Amino acid sequence: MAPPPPELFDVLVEEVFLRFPPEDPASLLRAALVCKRWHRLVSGRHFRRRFRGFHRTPPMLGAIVNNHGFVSTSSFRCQVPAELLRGCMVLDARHGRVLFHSVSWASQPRDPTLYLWNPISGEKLELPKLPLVLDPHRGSSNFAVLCAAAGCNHLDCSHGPFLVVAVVVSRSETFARVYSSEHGEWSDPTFAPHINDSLVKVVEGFGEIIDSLDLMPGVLVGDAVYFLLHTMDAVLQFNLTTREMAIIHLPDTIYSRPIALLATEDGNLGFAGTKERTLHLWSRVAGPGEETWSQSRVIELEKLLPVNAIKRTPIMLGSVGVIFLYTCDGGIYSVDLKSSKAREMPDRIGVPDYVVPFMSFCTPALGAAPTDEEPSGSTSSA
Amino acid sequence: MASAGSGDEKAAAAAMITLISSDNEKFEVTEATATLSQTIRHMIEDGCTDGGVPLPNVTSKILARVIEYCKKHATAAAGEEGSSSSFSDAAFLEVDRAFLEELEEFDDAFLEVDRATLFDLILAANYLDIKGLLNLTCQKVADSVKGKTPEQIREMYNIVNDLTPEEEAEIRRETQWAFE
Repeated sequence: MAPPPPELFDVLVEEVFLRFPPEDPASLLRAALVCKRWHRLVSGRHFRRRFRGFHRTPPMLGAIVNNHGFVSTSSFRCQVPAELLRGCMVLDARHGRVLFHSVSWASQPRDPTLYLWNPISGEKLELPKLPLVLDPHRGSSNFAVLCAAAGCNHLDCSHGPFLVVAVVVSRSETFARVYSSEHGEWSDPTFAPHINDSLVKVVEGFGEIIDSLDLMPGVLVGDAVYFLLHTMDAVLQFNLTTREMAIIHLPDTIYSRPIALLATEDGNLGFAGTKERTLHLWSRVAGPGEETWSQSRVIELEKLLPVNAIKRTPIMLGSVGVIFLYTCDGGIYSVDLKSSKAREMPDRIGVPDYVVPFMSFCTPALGAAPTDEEPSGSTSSA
Repeated sequence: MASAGSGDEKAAAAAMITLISSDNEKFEVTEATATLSQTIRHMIEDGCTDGGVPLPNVTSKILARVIEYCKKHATAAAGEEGSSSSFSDAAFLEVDRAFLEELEEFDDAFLEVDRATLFDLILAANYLDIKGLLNLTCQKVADSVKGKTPEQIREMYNIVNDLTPEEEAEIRRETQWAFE
């Protein structure tokens, strides 16, 4: 029997390409270099949309480690621009964008400049200066970036409109400002005077202290962004619709510092903490009258990590879909809560403050692609 | 080896469907087996299966393999329905697990075919709209391409490189990291 005519394969080549793992974008791009037909297919808007819809959840392509750079956990490779690596700190990453801040946290955020970077397209954007932060010497701030498109499924919105949320808390003034790419400016501040007093806390051995915002990236749950307070006993909620702020207290439990906020699979606010050789997950659930916290899972770390790695309690480095743990053997592990699987990150980089994971599809519209499937002028990529 | 599924199944009270391959061979299968194909399911629903279902795009050799797949997976689907009524029963769960393992082994063995057959199976799965089979066969090809260089892929699949050097350079320049 004669060998199969190649067109046999061509008819269903798209079905085959759909089944490439999303965390291996390099394989897809190499396929684009096989011939014109494959190139057009891989680059085409139709296929790229189908690919993202087929896999549904953007994969973790890597993580940005403060002062270190992009650590790849996939076949995707990129480099944080030098000017963002030096003298800037990474704050957050969401919906295809990474947010940086022009000052190291040691200095006061008196006059911060914020930058957005798209690791896939390489584009960098400087936001207009945040109007002067009040009471800079006693205030603390944190920031979040997110897609601003209504009803977006966040599969391909890295070139759409976005918001950057800035929250500043201090004893005398607590407020939030939101930058909208559509308006091209920062909103007027929304003040939350009721929060000021709740920041005053009495800590045994220290007397009265004023709580501040922690550095850990915030978490987006529903239409609110949540930031952790430094004492780790409460969370600051910023509602994106009403622009109101509230303090949500965490249950009185003792975990190794820090803990990490997360969005649970069923769309609630949650947090993860480590205690000795275990990882504890909590979620906020509807209770009688008001919402309460409930411990949802306890994961034995010995089932996930090598024995040597858990001689001491691992340090939480953050969580967005996955939880990052720094272990006493110098490794950084990402723990996928859905599959209960842990993977060691390739680089050994000392103890980072925290890790910001980058989750996105990488399905670029290669510029040289014949444009029969692309509307003219389209440069969108995932 | 021709009429897969004409013997024991005839005895069963289940409705039988006759499938006719491109080379005019007749295959008698149960409705449960046939309706794994959405294409055939729609034909049955429309009442156009009397006198057999002609499948002019599928040879008898490939149709026999497709039926083999459908039979196995139709049994699996029936098993799943049966077990859902007896959830939480450890013994049933154990049976389920064993059956799933057996199914996986079946799928692995099923894919041990030459490339031409694999492509024919993909085409048939697409034409007959059998999701599981399309997924299985396409994943097999995707796995074979994964991690290969463009040159290796061209060689594997007899593909002529018709990209101009300029186009090639442009793609490489944009996504250099994928080729390192």
